[in-house]
Amino acid sequence: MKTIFLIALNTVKEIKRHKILYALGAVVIFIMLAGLVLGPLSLSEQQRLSINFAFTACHIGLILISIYFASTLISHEVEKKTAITLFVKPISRLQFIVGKFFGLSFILLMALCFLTVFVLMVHLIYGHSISSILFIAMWGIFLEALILLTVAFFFSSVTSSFLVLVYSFLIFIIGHSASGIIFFVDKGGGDYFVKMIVSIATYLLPNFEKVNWRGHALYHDSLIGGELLFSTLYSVSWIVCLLVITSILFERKQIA
Amino acid sequence: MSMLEVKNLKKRFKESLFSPEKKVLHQIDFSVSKTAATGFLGANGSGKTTTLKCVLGLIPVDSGEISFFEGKSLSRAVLKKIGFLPEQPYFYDYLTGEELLLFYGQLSASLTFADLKARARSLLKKLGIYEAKDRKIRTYSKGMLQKVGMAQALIHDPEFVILDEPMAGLDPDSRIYVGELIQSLVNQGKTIFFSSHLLYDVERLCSNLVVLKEGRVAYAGSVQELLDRIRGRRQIIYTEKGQKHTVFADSIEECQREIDRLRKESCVILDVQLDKKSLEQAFVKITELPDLKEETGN
Repeated sequence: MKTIFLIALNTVKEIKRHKILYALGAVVIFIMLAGLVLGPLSLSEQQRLSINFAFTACHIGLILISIYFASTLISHEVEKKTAITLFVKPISRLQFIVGKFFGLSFILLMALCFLTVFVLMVHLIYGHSISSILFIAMWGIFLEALILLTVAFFFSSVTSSFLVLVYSFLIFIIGHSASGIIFFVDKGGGDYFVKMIVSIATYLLPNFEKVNWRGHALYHDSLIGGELLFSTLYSVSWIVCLLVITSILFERKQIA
Repeated sequence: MSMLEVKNLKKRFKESLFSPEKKVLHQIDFSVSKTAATGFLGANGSGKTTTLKCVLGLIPVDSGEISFFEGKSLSRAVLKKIGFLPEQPYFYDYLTGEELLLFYGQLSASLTFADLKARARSLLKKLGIYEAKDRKIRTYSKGMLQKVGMAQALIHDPEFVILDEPMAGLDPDSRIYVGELIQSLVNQGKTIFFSSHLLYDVERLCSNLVVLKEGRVAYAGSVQELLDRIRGRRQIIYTEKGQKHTVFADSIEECQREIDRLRKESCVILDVQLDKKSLEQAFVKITELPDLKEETGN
């Protein structure tokens, strides 16, 4: 545990110094402010538009932090050869991966807390009532960011940092459109082969719509406790599986 | 006692997916004995760094056996007793020198934080970079990086220290100092295995030697034995009819025969000298020859 903690702490120190983290934070706040400015332009939907902007800004911000840092953290250790000095110390590659995961997760959690304060402020400005569903929606964004983090880690163990970035974004897009594709394939009555490929793809790739509760928060829809628990377990399963696969692949990686 | 034993180590690399495999290490066999400094020599591309990376588990081997401390395979317990300085060390440049040593020390040493801090400071003082302990690594010069690299290899007080080109990038003063540090580690009972291009340093510091040539061990044995072998030539200086001459003999027997002949011819023997050669000349000679390993019986 001490080794994992040390690696996580070092990861936090590493990310903290990146100006891009603060630049992303600034972009997110800018989008939220844009929502506040643009809100009054829409008829009778000012409140929803501004709150939607706030959620979208949080979502984009957290996903960008997750993918950008996850795609560079592991690849750069190998590319910049810092891994050579690290792996001759008594640490396993699993500890390294898990340590990096916790370090970046901590940064994401801090970013989530910071952004939640802004979302709450937008709610208060419009007198939108604050309920638990708001926090559940933010929890969903956090889970999605964690899954994408491990997806990027997985790709980092097999390819370069640029390709990790590209592949992770593709998974992000597919993960959000999978439910829609299934719906249209079912409605369109496509052939069995297409349906089979789509359904296999949805099982092989994470479905981010399972943790998308932003709509619920916007319209004050309630969420069944079972759904929250199932989606959290679904996310944790993806995270654990990807971390284990990544460490197995990373074990075989040449640190040269 | 053997600190490291490498048997029949083989490694191939593929430059790209479709390129043919290239044999980098053909068959490496050598051992490093306890409480001595062993030099690891070879021309660029002979496979020294690849061998060290295979030994430390950084790259998987194709075949062969690697064992530490009398037959133990590489494990976390074994790694706790090993210190390693890579060639051109790269570190987390956002940490200060002291933070870096504490980070690596906490990963490998079983000291308390206070003791670790004291050890880190003592090492930084020994290596002459104490004044820079609070500076970020990114501001360090190449020589300072090499020194902080030495410090991180020694922070956990390892029994066995592997150094890949420890003198590279150092100014003459620092080179002498690192040499003295290696010597003092040997005197403390540590085992040092280091690769270098600087043959003078290897000759000065090492009692044993492993020489690689194109992925094969060209020599493994004592430095003295190698030098004696190369220094086998004798130089006989004599005068004949008032004129000074020199003749060379490759062996003691040949030297005796030459002396007998010169005496018969009424020559005056002035001196018989061992033709002194440095390790550099020995290195050139063994890397020119097909394989000295069998000849020397190592």
